[in-house]
Amino acid sequence: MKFRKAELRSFDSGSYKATIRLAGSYKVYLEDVAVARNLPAAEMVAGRRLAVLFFEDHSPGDAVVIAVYT
Amino acid sequence: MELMNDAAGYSAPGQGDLSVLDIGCQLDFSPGYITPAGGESSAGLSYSLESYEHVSAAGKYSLVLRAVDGWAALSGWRARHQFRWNKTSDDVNVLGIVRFVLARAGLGLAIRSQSAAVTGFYPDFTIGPGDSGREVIQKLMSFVPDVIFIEGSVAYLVNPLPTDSAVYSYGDGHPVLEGTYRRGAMKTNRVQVEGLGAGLIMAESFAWDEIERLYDRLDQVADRDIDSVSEAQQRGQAILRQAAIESEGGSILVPVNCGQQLYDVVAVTDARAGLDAVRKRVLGIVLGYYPRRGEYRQRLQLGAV
Repeated sequence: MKFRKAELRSFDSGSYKATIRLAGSYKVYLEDVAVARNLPAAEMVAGRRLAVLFFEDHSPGDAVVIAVYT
Repeated sequence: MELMNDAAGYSAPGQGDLSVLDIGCQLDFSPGYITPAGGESSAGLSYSLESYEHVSAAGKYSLVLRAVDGWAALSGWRARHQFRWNKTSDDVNVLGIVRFVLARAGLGLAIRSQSAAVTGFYPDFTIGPGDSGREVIQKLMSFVPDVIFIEGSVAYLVNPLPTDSAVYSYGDGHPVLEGTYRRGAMKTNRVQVEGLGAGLIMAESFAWDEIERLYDRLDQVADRDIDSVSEAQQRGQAILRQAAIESEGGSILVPVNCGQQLYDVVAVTDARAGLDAVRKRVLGIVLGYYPRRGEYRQRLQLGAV
C-alpha cells in the first residue's frame, strides 16, 4: 500500500473517475483512477492537488483518490 | 577486491597505464584453474566499479576496489515518469514488461526456461515516478513462478521445476568441505487468490502433505488484474512453489566450481548427513579467493528443488 501525491487533470462525475498526474511524472497522466464517492464532484477542479492511495503499488485499478486539497 | 600495491603500481587509477581503471569501469572476474590444458577459466561474472580506496599503513599498501553487479544497476534506475501497460487491452505480458525494465538498466534478457504465466499474464501495471527498477522487477516476478539471476549485463529467466535433473554432483568426485542441511515447514501451505473478471473470482491452492502435518497456513492474495480462474490458480501455485523451495535450506562449502550458476540443480552426497545424491537447488553463491591464506572456495546456499 502506498500513498502518492498527484494533480487533478480532469474528472468525470458520471463514472467518478479522474485523470491525474502523479507528482514527478511530467506530462504523463494516469487515466481512469477511481475517486472516493465522499468527495463532492464540485471540489474536483482541474489543477487541485490530490492524495491517491494505491492498495497495490503497481496496480492503477486498485488505486483511489481519497483527498482533494488547496 | 583487494590488490597489493607495495610497488605503487596502482597508485594512480584512471591515469596512464591504469586509465581504464576508473569509477564506472567494468571489472570482469573469471574464476579458473591451472589445468594440464593450461589456464582455464569461466567467464560471465562482471561488475561495475563503484569506488576504490588506497590503504597505506605500516607494512601494508593496497588498493581496495568496490564493485556492484546488475542488481545494483537495477536499484539505481529510477522511473523518470509514470509508465503503464495493458490499460484497455492485453498488449504486453509480464515477460515484456520485465524485458523493458531490464533494458532501462542496460541489461539484456536471456530465457533458459519459462512458465506459461510469464507469457500469458497481462496485468494492468504501472510504474510510478521514482520507483526503482529492482523493486519493479521483484514485483513482476512475484506474479509468476519464474526467477531471475544476473550475470554480467544479462539477466537469465528460469522456471524452476521440481522435476529438474541435477546438472552436477558434489560429495563424490567434488569434495564437500562443510555442509549444513535444513528441512523445515512451508511458511504457506494454502493460498486463496481473489481476482475480478466478469464477477468475483476465487481459486484455492493447497500443499496437502504440509497441511496434514501442520494444519493450514494461509496466504491471501487479492489482485483485480487476475480475470480468470486459471490465472488465479497459477498465482496460487507460484506462491506455493516459492514456499516449497524456501522450506529447505543449508549450504555447502566446496572447492570452486567455475561453472556453477544460480538455480542449477545439483546432487549432494554427504553420508554423515544421510544424503546420497539428493537433489538441491543452488539459491546463492559466495566465492572467496584469498591468496594470502591459500583459500579458493565457494559456499553454495541450497534450497529445495
